[in-house]
Amino acid sequence: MKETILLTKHMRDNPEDSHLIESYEKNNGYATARNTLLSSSPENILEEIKSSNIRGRGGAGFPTGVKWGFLAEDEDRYLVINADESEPGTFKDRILLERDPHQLIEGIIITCFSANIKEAFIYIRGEYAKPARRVQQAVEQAYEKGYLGKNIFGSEMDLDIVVHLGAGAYICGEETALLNSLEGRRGEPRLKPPYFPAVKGLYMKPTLVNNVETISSVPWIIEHGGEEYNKLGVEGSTGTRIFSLSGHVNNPGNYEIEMGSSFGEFVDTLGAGIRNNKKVKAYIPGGASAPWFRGDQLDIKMTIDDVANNNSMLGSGAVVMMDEDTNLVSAAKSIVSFFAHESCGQCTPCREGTTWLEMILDRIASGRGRTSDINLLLDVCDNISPGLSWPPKMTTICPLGPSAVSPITSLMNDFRDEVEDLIPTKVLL
Amino acid sequence: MSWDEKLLKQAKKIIKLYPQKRSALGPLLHLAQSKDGYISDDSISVISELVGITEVQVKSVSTFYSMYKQEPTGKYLLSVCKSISCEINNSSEVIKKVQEFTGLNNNETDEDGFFTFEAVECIGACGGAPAMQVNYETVEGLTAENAINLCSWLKEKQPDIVVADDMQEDFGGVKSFDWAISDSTGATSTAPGFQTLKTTKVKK
Repeated sequence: MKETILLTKHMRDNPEDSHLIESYEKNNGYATARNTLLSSSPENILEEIKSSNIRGRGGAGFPTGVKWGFLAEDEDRYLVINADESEPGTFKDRILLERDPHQLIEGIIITCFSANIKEAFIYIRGEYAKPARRVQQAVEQAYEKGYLGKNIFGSEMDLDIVVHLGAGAYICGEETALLNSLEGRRGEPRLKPPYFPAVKGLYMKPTLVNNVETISSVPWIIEHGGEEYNKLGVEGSTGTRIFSLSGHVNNPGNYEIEMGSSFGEFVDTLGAGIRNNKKVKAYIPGGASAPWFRGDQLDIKMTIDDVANNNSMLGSGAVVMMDEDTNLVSAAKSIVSFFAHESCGQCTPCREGTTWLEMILDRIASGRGRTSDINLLLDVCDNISPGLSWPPKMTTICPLGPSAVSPITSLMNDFRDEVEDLIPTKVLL
Repeated sequence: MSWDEKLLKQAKKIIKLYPQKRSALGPLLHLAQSKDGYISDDSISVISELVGITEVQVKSVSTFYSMYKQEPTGKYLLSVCKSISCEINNSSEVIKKVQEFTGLNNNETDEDGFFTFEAVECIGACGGAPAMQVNYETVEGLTAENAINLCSWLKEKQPDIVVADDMQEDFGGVKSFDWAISDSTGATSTAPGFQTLKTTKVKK
């Protein structure tokens, strides 16, 4: 299995200075944006994006062309780049921001041309200070060259970009929470409907919110055509995608591949297998929110639909391998603690439920579990996401609460023995 | 108002970046963090006037986000990751050793105002787990021993600019990806080092 290099080409060919505009331009950078602005039309660009069949790379996998098509008419419209990458296991936007910020800016220019947008924001999580500095430097370079500001490339188009730093809240990766945060409010998700960003987004104006990787793919798609992009990967999961591989693997890292291979092949070839030749006990196919797969399910294909058909999600493309020695209760506890910490507190099932789950799992993990705890765990999960089905039923405004249920249903469905073994049988209540 | 002219000028520059004043609230809170090492009541009152919202509204936003500290921090904010990829790569040992070295519990600052310790959620360094940040500059591929060595080094050298590449070279190991670009810019406070905030400098 080999990587297919589109998005990471420039950074690989020019490792030492790929972040600078001189290097980017030497490799034909900004040529696509220039040609677009001078000789294409917004409709053509939208058609190319639609025919590429690219789906959003942030987690939900919504078709990007459809999203762009939803954008309501208004004099003021905004583009917001979601660079609040915080899903545990994910570090693919970080490399795109740090090492190829101009590709993102070129993608923003083309996107704004297509959607008739004059102001874009790049919302970068606060902990990504170094990536944010690189992006800010790139934005300043682009202004100096006249690629941002007034009459870009001598065309009629004006565009400003502001790089905005978040302040440590995972929930701001949820698009409506991100918009609240960008408006200087608490990062609490808004109700949909009526607050669909494409209609009532930033400042209640129509707003496109797209992931870094999605928009970084735009220059390639426009340069080579949507049809070419559509030929890569498989139907429903076209193009390439950067997967972040971590956990107990020999070669963790970001790998750009066409979707369609199996997780097992991915780990054995690019990941060079599991450390110390151990076996996989379980793995997370798409970030901490995703239900786990067992080690005997490594033949599942890495596509959005295959993973969904197996009751999980490809999510943000974060693959975390856990070997045979992993304490899965501790692993689940780490994930549940994460969601308990990151719950914004608006919805009771999530605010209270995640805290309860954390407390009960902590009790079990430290050997103080009660025999009633397993049913209690499932009961709390059922209150957050009734029926514990996948995709989850919601009792909350956003999917954060149900995400905390994922590791617990995985434990209970496939590794119940490990939980039961930790509960002292003498303590019967 | 007790922000000096220079800081106020910078605040006004930041406000101008946005279509609505209130959007500058986040960056202004980072600015306050860089000034005092926490969000002081004084800064809250200054910001509320600058943005045109009440002090309670500022406070309500400030307490929502974990990077705005409600109590003074030390010169170095040590943030060790405890999320899943780090957890299964022994971050608990790193946390334990750093806590022993500094004598600090979670979210505590030592008496001489040198270190603040916190165990944090995912910092996006999962391929280089376990990882930590010092003033939001990342070090990846840590061992418990190297984490201690890093703390000792901070104690001894007391650098005014914290540079990720320096720390990574001396105390780091496996990285999430090749950093490739050599970089000597870093953070100058416990707010993230970022040009717009003037909280970053290039180490000479």
